[in-house]
Order: sequence, then structure tokens, then C-alpha cells
Amino acid sequence: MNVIETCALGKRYRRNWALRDCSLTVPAGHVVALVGPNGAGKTTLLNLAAGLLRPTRGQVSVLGGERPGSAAARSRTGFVAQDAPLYGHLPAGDMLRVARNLNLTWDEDRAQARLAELAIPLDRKVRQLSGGQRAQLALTIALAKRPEVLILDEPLASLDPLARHDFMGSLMAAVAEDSLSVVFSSHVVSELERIADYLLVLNEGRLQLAGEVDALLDTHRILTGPGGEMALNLKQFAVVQVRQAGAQAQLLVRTSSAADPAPPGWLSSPASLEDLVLAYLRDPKASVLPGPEVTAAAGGEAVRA
Amino acid sequence: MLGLFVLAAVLLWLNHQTATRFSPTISAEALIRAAWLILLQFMPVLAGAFLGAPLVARELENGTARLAWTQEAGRIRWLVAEVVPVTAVLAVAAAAIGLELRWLLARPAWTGPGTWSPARFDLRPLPFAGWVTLGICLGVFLGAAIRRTVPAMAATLGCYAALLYVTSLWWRMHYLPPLHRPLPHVLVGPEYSYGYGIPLTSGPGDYVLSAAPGRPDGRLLTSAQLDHPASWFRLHHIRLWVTYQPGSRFGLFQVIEFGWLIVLATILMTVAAVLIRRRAA
Amino acid sequence: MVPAGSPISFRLDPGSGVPTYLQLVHQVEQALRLGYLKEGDRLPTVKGAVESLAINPNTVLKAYRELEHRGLATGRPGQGTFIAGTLRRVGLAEQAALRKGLLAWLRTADEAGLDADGIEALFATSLRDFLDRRDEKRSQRRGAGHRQGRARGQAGEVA
Repeated sequence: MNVIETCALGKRYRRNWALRDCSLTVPAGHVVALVGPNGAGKTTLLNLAAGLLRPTRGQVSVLGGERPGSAAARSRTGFVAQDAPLYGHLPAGDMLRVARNLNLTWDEDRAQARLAELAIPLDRKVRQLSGGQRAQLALTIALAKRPEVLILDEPLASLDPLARHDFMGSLMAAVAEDSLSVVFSSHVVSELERIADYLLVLNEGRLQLAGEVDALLDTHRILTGPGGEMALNLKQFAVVQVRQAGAQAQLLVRTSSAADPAPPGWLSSPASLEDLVLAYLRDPKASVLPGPEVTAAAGGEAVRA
Repeated sequence: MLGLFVLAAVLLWLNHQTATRFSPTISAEALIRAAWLILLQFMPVLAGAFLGAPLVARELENGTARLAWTQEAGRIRWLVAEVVPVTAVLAVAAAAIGLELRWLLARPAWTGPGTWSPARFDLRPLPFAGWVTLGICLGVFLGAAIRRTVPAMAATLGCYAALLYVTSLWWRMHYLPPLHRPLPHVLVGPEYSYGYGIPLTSGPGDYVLSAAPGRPDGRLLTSAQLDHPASWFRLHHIRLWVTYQPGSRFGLFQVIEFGWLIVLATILMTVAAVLIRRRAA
Repeated sequence: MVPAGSPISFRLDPGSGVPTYLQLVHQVEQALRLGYLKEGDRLPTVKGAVESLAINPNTVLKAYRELEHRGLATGRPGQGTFIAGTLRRVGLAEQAALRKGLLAWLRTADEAGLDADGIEALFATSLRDFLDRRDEKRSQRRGAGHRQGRARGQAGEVA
């Protein structure tokens, strides 16, 4: 089953395309990070998947063909929107009760246990809770309906480092417990490597990179070697990024497999997820999408030291 | 809001107690009574602007719609759950106040403007409940259409006021075609043509829309004929014809007003539901 | 009944460049060497480990699979993962002999002009190459089932 499937999906707000020609398939059972700079279309894509927006073009389906926003999709999808909106004037306990009344499937015991474990006072008004507590409350509500996929829009954006760690810890614990698929967006790349096992990179409204993290890391290497003309002669690799500093050049290249040997005179080292994401974001024309074909842009034009 | 309603009802009753105990003449109490009636007339529009309009608009503004609309219940059930209980409770409260007022207004101390006067008519149980329902639904609709709380509140006030104005000053008296009837006295001359000095109603509770001199067959006089002498008036049995709504229609008109208010409220809610279903959060 | 909690808890060194799952494997091995863990002890539950480290559950599962491959742990369905073996300990005499050989090599390296950093770097890369090749042979013997994890491991270690 695919948790999200889109085909030529596009969304336009008045004259601006927030998302265009986005075709992707996210299989179930992954923790998917949706990465991109601000304004790349991450929120648009997630809101389309949550059924809050309707596509201008193309199709989107969730959980094996359900229309986002349909009753079936709503009951199986947990969604936490950007800034984790909650009713600020309600005490936390009442907030939970309101959410319970809006759902048929509801695991009250688990929700209560989670809040107790997090020491969130039920009688305190939501707006008086800390940012971390609010995020946890929103997560509790989203988990209490026992969703199959959890969609989180920038869940970490407003949290301090400790709260981020705790939030991700409890999210990952829920994943371990429920075999839940998670799709979350973030513009912070450095924290993803330990959490995500599937990566989507959006840039300027287009999908740039999609695939399992391990596979992406296996097929990208950093080559260090002599600069100058030499850098341009590495025909057997798709060069994503070139950095020249005097006599030395550093290239991020894509290989067909991890076993590809480095050319003579070059030192090959693995790329980190952060290297990879940043390199692609710097060059919006380069892309790696599932399927055997290699996008031409990734091979040719990217070489421009 | 409900608290306000209850408070209004209690104060009305207290005011009535003091008014009957002390002075039946025109006094401060009478002014206070008038003020109360005016205040009560604002209840439906206040309910619309302060309860109805923010209901959807505030959720959209705060982003909490994105929480509520992605839950299992969905947008339409959410809307029904938000609107129906509030509206039902306030409509029942309005009807109860209407009953109280009808009882109070039947007392001599509360005799004021006639039964058909706008202030009296809207505050009868059925129309009052109807206007409260419409006020809330109008607010919800405008909130869903405008998506911003303060503009939606302002629009609710404006639309409600316009509708109330048109209804009470013109439309209400034409729910059914008015009747025509000659007054019994033969006119002695054009000086009485407009009914000065002649009691305009013969039936109790009638509401006269207009009066004009006319022949026995109902044809009204032209302006040239008005210049004829008194003898001509007597010769042709010119009488004053009144266009009026009979007092017997009072109850029927209340039902009609309640009916169209509820129909309009239902239409507004349906459109609001379509808007909420279709539009982005 | 579920046995009592694990004697160890994991921690991560984000800057080390070692893949997360290998860090967990190494920590279990280290705890075995130092005697904090012995046969029959329970490893932290996946949920517990994941919650405290904020990492993907698959990483912990992968680490535990790796430990099973190395014959150090075994999973009992519904109960958790338990230590099932011990690391082979090297006898004191044997250690002394190995040390002697290493010192001899170090002298040669020093005479060749390598400084301390150079020696460390050379040693580290040689060790990695050696382990990689050894593991490769082992995994070839075991079959192709475990390739992806290995490839990832290699990638991280070099960094």
C-alpha cells in the first residue's frame, strides 16, 4: 500500500504555482521526511494529502487509493497542521474531549496515559502550555484516533532542542508501537538522518528527490581530486555538484551502485544526507526520482564550476 | 449569549413589577420599557454577529479549522454540531421571552404602540425565534464566505439591519394582498379625503396601509376630482377607502414570517455548508 | 512475564560519523567486553530505545539484527531481545605477544618518518579495510541477504 500517491499534481494560488507536476509514490511503513526551503510547497503538498486543499491539476490519493478528505481517509489519517493549531482558550482536558467528540475511533486510555506520562496538566489552558507541551498535545490527539498514517507539517519548527528531541522520541515510540507510517515536513536538514528512512525534497514547487535514505546514500559519493579540467572529465558519473578550491575539486556524484570505484587519482568518500540535500537544493535543475531513467539535467548541466 | 437572554427576561419582569406598582403614567419607567424593547430587538443580530460570524471565521483565522476538519467527523458534521445546538437553545429562549412579553404587553401598564408596530411584531414568540435563528445562520454564512472574523461580524450587522428594515417597514404588510374597504361615513368634502378626523379602523387590531377617497364601486378619485365641491362628494356617495391588513391575519402573518425566516436560514446554512465543503482550510 | 528492564541504555554520538545502528552494536559489544552485560540480559526494548534516542525504530531493529548475525543476541517474540553469547576474550599472554608485534611495526613506521597523526590515520584506514574485506567474505558466505546494511555501514565508517 502507498500512503501517498500523486500524479502530475499541481496547485495554484491565483497566479502562483505552489506545487507543479508532482508525481510521487510513498510506500507504507516509512518515516518520510519532506524537505525543502521555505516556500517550496511542502505545506501545500501536505494539505493536499490531508484533504484541506483541492488540487488544481492532477490527482492525489492516500492510503491505497482513498481520496484525501473523504470519510475513509479522514478516519485513517492523523494530521497535525503547521504550528499545531489547538483551541487555546480550552483547558487541555477539554481540548482532548472536543477532539474525542469529533472522532469515532478514539483510544481515550492511551491519550490520557500519554498526557500523564508527559506531565501535561489537564486543567491548564492550552495557550498557557509550553510550545513543546502543545506539540505533544496535538500529537496525542492525532495518535488517539489510531491512524495508519500520520502527517505532520513542520512539527519541530517552534520547539527548542530539548522539546524537539522529546517530541521526536515520542513520535518514534509511536511508530515502533503501531507500525505507523509518518510523513513530516521540515526545513532543518541536520536532524533528519537519524529519524527519516525515506526522503522527499521539494524545491520551488517541484519534486527534486524521492527515495529511501539508504538507497540515496548508497548511490551518492563525494569525490575529492585534482581540480581544473580534470573535474570535467568524469563522464561515468552524474555530477550533482562541483566545488573548486584552487587545485582541488570536490564533487558530489551519483553512481549506479555503492561499489563503483573511484577514478584513479580521486578519493571517494560517502556523502551524508545533509551533503546530499544541500547539494540538490543548490541546483534546482538536478533531480533524482524513482525509476531507472537518469534526468538529463543531473548529468550534463550541473557541471558548471 | 443565553445568559444575556435570561438576564433580559428577568430584568423585564422586574421592570414590569416596579412599573405596575408605582406609576401608570408616562414616566421614566415608560422610557425604560421602550429601551428594553429596543434592546431585545438587538438580541438576534447580536447573536448573529458575536456567535454566528466568528463560528467559522475564527476557526479559519486561527487555523483550528485545519484541526477540526481533518478529524473523522468531517466538515459537515462539525458544522452541524457547532451550529444546531446553539441555535436551538437561543431560538427556544427567544420564544420564551416572546411569550413573557406577550403576557406583559397585555397589561395596561405596557400599552404602547399598536400590535402591528415593528417592535411588537418581531418580539412575538414565533418571529423572535425566527429572527434569532436567521441572525445566527446569517453570521455563520457570512463567516464562511468572508473567512475573517471582524469583517464577517460587520457584514452580519449590516445585512441583518437591511433585512429587518425592509421587512418591518414594507414587506411584512404585504405577505398577503391587503384588503380594501370603505369606511361607513359619506365624505362631506375633500378636506376629509385623507381621513383626518375620521377613525380609520372599524375592526380591532387592523393595520391601515393607506386611505383614499373613492366611489362606492371602489374606484378611487383622481386628483382633478378631488377639487369637486362637497355636494358632489355627497351626491356620488364618495367614501374613504382604506387599504388594510385585518387584525385576524396577525397570527397568520407571524407564522408566515417565521416560515420564511427559517427557510432563508436553512438556505444560508446550506450555502455555508457547500462553501465549507469546497473551500480550503 | 516480561523480565525487568535492561541493564544498559544507549547513547549516540552525532558527530562520530559512525552509522547510528553500528553505534548501538558497538555499545552492546563494549558492554559485553566490560561485563555490564552478560548472557540472558535483556536489551532495551525498541520502543524504549527509540523514545530516548529519538531515532527511527528501523535503526534499532537493524542493530539488533546485526547483533543476532554476530551471534550476540537473540530475539524472543513478544518479550524482547536478549544477550545470547559472549565476545571471545583474548588471553593475557596472547595480548602481550600482539602488543609486541605492534610496537615493532610502530618503530618501523617512526623510522620511515610517519608522525603520530599519520600513524593513527594509517592504522585506522588499514583496520577498516581489513574489517571490510573480512566482513565481505563472511557475508558472501552467509548469502546476499544482508547487503544493504553492510553497504551503509561501510559508507559511514569511512566518514
